[in-house]
Amino acid sequence: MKTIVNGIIKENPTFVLLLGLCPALAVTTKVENAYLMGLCVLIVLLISSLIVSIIKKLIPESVKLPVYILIIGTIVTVLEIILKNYIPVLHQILGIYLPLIVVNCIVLGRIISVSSKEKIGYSLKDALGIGLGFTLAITVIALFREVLGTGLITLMDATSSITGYRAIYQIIPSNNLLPISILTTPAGAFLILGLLIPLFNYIKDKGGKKSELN
Amino acid sequence: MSGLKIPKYKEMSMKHKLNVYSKPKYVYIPLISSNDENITVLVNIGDYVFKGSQIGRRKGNFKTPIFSSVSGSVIGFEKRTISSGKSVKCVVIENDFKEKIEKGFKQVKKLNNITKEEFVETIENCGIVGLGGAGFPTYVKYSTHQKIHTLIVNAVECEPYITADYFIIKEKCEEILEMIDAILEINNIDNCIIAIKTTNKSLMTIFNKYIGTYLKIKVVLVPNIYPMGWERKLIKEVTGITYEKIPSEKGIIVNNVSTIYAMYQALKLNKPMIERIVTFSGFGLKKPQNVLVKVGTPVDEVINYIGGSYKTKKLVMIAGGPMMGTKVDDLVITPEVNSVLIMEDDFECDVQECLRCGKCINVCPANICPVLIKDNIDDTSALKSMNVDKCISCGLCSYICPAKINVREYVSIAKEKVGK
Amino acid sequence: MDKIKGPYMKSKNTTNKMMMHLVISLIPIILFSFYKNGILPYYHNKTTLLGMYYPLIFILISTFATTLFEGLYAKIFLKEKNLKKYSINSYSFIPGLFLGLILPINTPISILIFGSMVASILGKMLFGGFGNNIFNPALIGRLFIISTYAIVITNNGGYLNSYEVDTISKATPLSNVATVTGIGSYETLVEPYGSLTDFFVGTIPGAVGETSALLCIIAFIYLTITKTIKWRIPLFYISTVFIMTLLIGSINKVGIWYPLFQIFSGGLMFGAIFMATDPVTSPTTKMGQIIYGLSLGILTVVFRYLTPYPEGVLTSILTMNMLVFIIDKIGLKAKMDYKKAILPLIFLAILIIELPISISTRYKVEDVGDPNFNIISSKEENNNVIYVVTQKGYVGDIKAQITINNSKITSLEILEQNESFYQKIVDANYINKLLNEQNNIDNVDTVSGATITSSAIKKMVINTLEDYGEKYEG
Repeated sequence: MKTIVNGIIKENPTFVLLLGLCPALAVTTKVENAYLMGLCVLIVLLISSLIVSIIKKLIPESVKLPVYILIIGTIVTVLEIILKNYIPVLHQILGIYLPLIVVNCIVLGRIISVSSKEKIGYSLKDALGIGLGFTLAITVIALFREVLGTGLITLMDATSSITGYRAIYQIIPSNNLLPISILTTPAGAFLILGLLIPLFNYIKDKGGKKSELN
Repeated sequence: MSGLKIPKYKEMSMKHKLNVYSKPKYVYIPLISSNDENITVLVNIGDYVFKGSQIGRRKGNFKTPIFSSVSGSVIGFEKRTISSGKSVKCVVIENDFKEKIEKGFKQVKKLNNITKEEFVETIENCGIVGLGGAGFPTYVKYSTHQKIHTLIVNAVECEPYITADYFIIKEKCEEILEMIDAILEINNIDNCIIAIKTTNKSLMTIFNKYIGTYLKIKVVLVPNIYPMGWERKLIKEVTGITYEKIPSEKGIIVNNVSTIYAMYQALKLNKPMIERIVTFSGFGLKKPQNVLVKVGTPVDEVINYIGGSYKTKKLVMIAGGPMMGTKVDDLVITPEVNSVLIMEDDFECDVQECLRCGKCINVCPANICPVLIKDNIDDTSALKSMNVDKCISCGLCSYICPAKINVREYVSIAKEKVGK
Repeated sequence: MDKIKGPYMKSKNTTNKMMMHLVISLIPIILFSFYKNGILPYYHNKTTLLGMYYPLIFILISTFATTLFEGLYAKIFLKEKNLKKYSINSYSFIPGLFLGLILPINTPISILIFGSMVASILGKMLFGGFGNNIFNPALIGRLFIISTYAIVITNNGGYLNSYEVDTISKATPLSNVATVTGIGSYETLVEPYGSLTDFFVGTIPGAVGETSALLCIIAFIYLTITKTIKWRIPLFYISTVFIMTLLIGSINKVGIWYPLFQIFSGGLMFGAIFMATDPVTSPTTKMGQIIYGLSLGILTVVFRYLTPYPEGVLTSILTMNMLVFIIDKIGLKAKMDYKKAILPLIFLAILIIELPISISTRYKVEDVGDPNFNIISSKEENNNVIYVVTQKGYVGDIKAQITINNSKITSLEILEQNESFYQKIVDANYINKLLNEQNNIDNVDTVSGATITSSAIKKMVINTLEDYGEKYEG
């Protein structure tokens, strides 16, 4: 349990480790896009982590890196083909960022540093934590960007074809001040990221101090 | 090259005539020469010394001698503060008020008959140093083998409050011109330019009275900009020449006008460096004036002698001029002290953030960028490429800063860091 | 070791005095803005008594807002105890004062206050407060407001105050430039707003305090005499823009009025004299200031001619603010050795001569025909000639079918378009307006809020008529 929480808070990939910022800025225009992307990364992380920690003793030292990328690439391609055929609308939303998971620093970095050295159980728990952390982080960013930037919050729109359920709510009515349309642009993404990172770290450090005093 | 016109405050010390303080009970002769305290002491406690006899000699490169300014007996050694703020060991001599001299006066009829070697030897043995404030041994300047074509006499006196050079010209103009003429002939120098500020035009009339027969000597007016008295700036203004390390490489020697008079006394009367004119000025004094004082005199006695200071205000004593001088608690006179200022202590003010206005850069006469040095004060490798060693500590950057930051301090720290 | 502690003489100039001179020089500009945006409309019965004082209230609100937000930030995050002393030392009112002067008069108050918060916190406090900010805070505030709320402001009236909106029909002078064909003439660029003297005095549409070149020049002389600002920057900035536009104008054979028009409009004078010379964000060395001024001039001309942004002053100053660190390094080397500055200066001089020449060739191409216009097909049917043409709009090409009968367009049907603001064209009934006024088509205004789209449709009509005239009327 501690490992999982570690991945969400202490070593949150987006706010603390500052990894994988490219998808964090690009797909966070809608809340739905964000958590779906997070889910995909989580799946890839879990599976590749499992595989690598099983066969880690068989990989020769000199071809470590190509083998990892091969594994991750295979998993992502399989995921892409599955999505293309069964949930095409998701494939369309994520666009180029789905194949880019192959070189996402989070996946590769975690595999190199954790999965290739630790036992299966620990690697899985770590992958789960990091994946959840990533998903939560980009969902929060998307929340701010969408609510403040367009006034809507899209919880389920594109996948309504599967679940048959649509959930788009208007949180804030339009007035002069809101929506702040710059937040839907990449410039706004940097702004929100830049303001959330110190906030998260401040809360994390303050919470850490309290638990130390206890 | 730039600079700034700053307020002069010279009229206050010009009001009274030149005064003389010749009877200190004790004199404290500092055993220090050109910042070097490594001095061989030639007297012991109980010895009797004559006025003008040698009591110490520097061990280092330039063997400048140190003299007693009164006749009397050596009663001990004490630490006293000198103009740089340091506390150094001094020989304490009790004045017997007889003004006895060891050797007789050597009345030299015509100065021009002296040879160059005699000239250099005499000014070395009489301990003549630059009286403009720097205290550099004068004989070194004349020992060069380069051909010197111009002698520039620095009568600019650019720092505020100081009028010592003004008074020496007023009193001894004839002798100064005679000495300059002799220097030109002895050292085979082609001509001499005396530089005075445009605001001191009254000196022109004094010079014009005597200068007629001296064809090689010219008086030139220079603008009233601080620091016009700085060697590099003065040479550039008067002759247009720039030099790399020392002026003699381009054939120029610069001497302060008070040093010229000290050389006259040394060559004509064999009198060593034992007394000089010092300006006592500042708004804390009741009667600011110039006083002829002996080396080693404690300054408190002189201040009481000339009328004292206002006791009601909080006062501070500064050795030297207001821009480049040092704050001291008490002082004994040494050859490089050209003024003592008593001012109100109102220099504390709030320091604000640097505005980056660039005024310190505009005003720096040494062409360096003080604010950029301040920005990089922690980065020694960046400081090395910023020419910090060219700073002359004139103080204009701190003077003009609107945020009242002491920029000169940062440059001094940078100089230290680069020097290591 | 010699310990020299500070000169015992301090000059009389202080930061407070310099800021006071700055504020004094702004007073005529504020009063003029009060006259132009408040008294004139009231005198012509276009607004209420409150509306007359509104410009002053506007500037006051932004000034107060930045002071408030900076004080709040200092109290909460910096744990500052003595707020009054902090505000005086940090001069927190100055970004607000400038922000109020460079925004359109019709900016809603809520947006003004929000923009002041962004200006003071994002533009100044997060970088470390006074003396440490890299970007001019007032410009950060204006950039945020214009890029986020441009549509809201335009819907509220844009740059035109209540008097101008009735008397002057077109948009601000520089957005008008985008709608004229070719390089324009005195009649199309200057006359809609008056004469060149109007541009000089400042009775033209623009931001609250940016328009008067005369008052800015008087302020510049006052500030240079009192040694408050870095005078080299505006001198080189404005001269560069003047020279480059003079070259562009003379290659295209327009008179001396053209460069004067360019330097008096777009808030160039105000930006060069007050915003570019902000002491904290501009170079400290002399040569650095010269390079800064020259680069600013080049960038402004590039932004005005080669990008859709009409003004260019704001973006060029913010871009150069980023590079001040490097420029000061060049200035430092130049201070110690003059010759090291020659290379950058030659590079800039080459740009100043070369860019106008290449910019002018774009105008010359239009003589041969509009490159954004394309005739896909034209066929004759009964007495009509039916054209299918495309014209480049804001997003992409607009495709239309135009029917001409006896040298008169009888119908215009839009076949394909992807324009973002096309709804405005429909709402304004623009196409019918164009068709009704086709004999006088140059005087038809563009639709505000969809300037480029409407201008494209207008150019499409003009180009088609031209082609018809060449082919069918001999």
